[in-house]
Amino acid sequence: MALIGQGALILALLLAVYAAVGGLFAGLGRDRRFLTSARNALWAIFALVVIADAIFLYAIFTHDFSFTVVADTTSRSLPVGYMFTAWWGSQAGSLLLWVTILSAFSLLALRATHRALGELQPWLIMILALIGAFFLVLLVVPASPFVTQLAPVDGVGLNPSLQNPYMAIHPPALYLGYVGLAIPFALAMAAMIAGRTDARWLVASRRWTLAAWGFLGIGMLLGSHWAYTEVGWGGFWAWDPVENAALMPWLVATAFLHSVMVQERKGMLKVWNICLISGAFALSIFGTFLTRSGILSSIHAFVSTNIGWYFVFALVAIIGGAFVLILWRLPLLKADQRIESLVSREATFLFNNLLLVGIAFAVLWGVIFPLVTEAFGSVRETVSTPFYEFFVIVFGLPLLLLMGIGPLIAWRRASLKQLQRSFLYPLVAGLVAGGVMIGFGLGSSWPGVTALSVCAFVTVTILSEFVRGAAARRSIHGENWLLALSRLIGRNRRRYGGYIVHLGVILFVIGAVGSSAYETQAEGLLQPGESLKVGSNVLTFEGVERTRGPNFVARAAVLNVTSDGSNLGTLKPAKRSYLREQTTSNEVAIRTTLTGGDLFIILDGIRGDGAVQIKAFYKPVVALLWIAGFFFVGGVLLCVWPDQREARRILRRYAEEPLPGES
Amino acid sequence: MIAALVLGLIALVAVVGVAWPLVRPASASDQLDPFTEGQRRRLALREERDLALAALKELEVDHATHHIGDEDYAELVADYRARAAEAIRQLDAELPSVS
Repeated sequence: MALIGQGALILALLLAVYAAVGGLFAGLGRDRRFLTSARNALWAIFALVVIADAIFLYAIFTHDFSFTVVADTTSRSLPVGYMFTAWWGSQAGSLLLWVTILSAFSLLALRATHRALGELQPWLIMILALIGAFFLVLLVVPASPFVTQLAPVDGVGLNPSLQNPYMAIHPPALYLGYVGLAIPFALAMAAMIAGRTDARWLVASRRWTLAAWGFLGIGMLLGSHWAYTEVGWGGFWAWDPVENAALMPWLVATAFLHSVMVQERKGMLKVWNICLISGAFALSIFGTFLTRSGILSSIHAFVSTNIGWYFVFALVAIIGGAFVLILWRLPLLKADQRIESLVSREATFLFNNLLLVGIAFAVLWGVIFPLVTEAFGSVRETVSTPFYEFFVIVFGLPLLLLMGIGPLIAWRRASLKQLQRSFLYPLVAGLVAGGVMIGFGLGSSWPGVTALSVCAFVTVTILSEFVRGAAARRSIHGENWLLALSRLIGRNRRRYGGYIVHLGVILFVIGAVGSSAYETQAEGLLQPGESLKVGSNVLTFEGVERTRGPNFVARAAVLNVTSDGSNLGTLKPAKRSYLREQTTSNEVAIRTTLTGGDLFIILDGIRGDGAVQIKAFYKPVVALLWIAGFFFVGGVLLCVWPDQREARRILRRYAEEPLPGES
Repeated sequence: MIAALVLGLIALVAVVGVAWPLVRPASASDQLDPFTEGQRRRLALREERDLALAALKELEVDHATHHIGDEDYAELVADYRARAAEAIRQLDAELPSVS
């Protein structure tokens, strides 16, 4: 079986190289036969990778420990539900997942663009095949999932941290995001090679970017929830390099999704957009490199791990290739118009871009800083949370403010009179919110007061956009409020979907700021019968309870919770000992209140005399972080959902003149 | 042995699928048409026209939702209309590529 799997991957690699060459011949020689042949090669690669996947999964589910990777990441006692998790629990398995998603996305992208972007197809195939070939080289040479050994009786097992439902969804979601960014990058490169720098590649890539960006966002949110409930340190984001690895391409893709509107409306920022999408894809490769090379633990791991240099080569090829193509096509990438006023929507998009890219660079510097200091000095130095928080506050607050300013300003330029009228109510809302917070004794954190006041400002601007739009429809079409609102959203999905995502961002910011700036905590060693107070909650320790799971034993502290005299039930923070994996994990206990706050309890230790060390937090409004996810998903779906009216408009525009590959 | 046979069969199917378009008899439709300068120019003009029309629509929404005043609206509408008209005039002046 391993031989067939390895053979399938080698054959897929040869076909990927062929598809790249075939695409090149089809593009240069304008030969449809090479185009069809190269396209068939991509289909064959997909089929071969699926065969490799099937063999790999069969080995996992049948406990075939003669596969080294299977023995290293699973055991006979591993619950069936986590068998799939083992697929991406190893380096080889996760790279196999990368290639699987890429080959499927490549076919979908070719299918989606074969009519409107016929001339780009040869180059699109070439770029996608080259990306596929890179990952197939990794799978064939340094990180094969089909390396075999003399089978041990049982496997080592899966890291207990990965034995969590969120870990079954979080990594694939991130991978869908990372890989998804390959498509807009390939479209941009293909457009430049073909000299087709008009807005068509942009229109074709928009949904791909949105979907990839959505998956990255969902992946990060699920990862945050996993960190919150599973890692057990009391927070949801630790500025860990793996978290940052996903955040960087997401930030740059966010900038792209905004600046793309400026190119579509005004024909500006053409070079910038290509730089952004190339940067987002390069950062997604860098993210994969960070999580897979082992360089995070030490720069020396870069030498000992055998995939580091492959990724360096890929990054140089991506950045260098994009740079050369931009230089070559610079005359075709001139802006059609210029920014006329700094008080215009295009200018706010530009400021938004600079701030987003600024945060991305700050995070990148924080991630590579330990590597730089270790490479150029003897001591490895790291940056910690205050470094990141400084940039998030300095760049993030103006960014948040722009989120409210942008929708209220017209394209091209805005007058003072119009600004006064548009900003009056949002400004009043922001000031009132700040005053109310200070009045209620919440002025202890000035970033907290500022951020939440800005959130109030932005919320009112967004809601007023819905009200104004619906009111305009009512006065023009005579519709009732509900019909006007639904038609307003339905016919401007991108705009109002974006606003819904912005509302999600606001909820996230309120949740993040509220839960960190206004958190209360308590810690204590409790004997049975003793209590600990956190906020208005009193925790009384009743004793230790022992339970047994499929592959672990657990000891839980039973805590009775009361608040203002009323009994709220029991909570059981626990420690699990995984037998096969020989490790322990913290299982935090969380009680969410009706006001969205969490009572969050960690069992830090159990002493021999039966006493327990308890750490407890009360985190106000933290539930908003997760509710924000629903707004985010809803908004993204609204934006991505096919818009038949827009599709008809584009088809009509290009149907006026049949272009190559469409006749 | 069986593994090698299965692998060989898979390779054969893949190679036939990939090679078939190259070994089948050639036809006139095998030539992908080049993208001419004329087409590029006309596409740029269409883009300019569509940008101006989209901007006009956007202006209407901004005006209806009071994001832009009457004077600015009138001036900007006149400008974008002129741009769209100029692009359409130049497109009409070009030889029609499809009747």
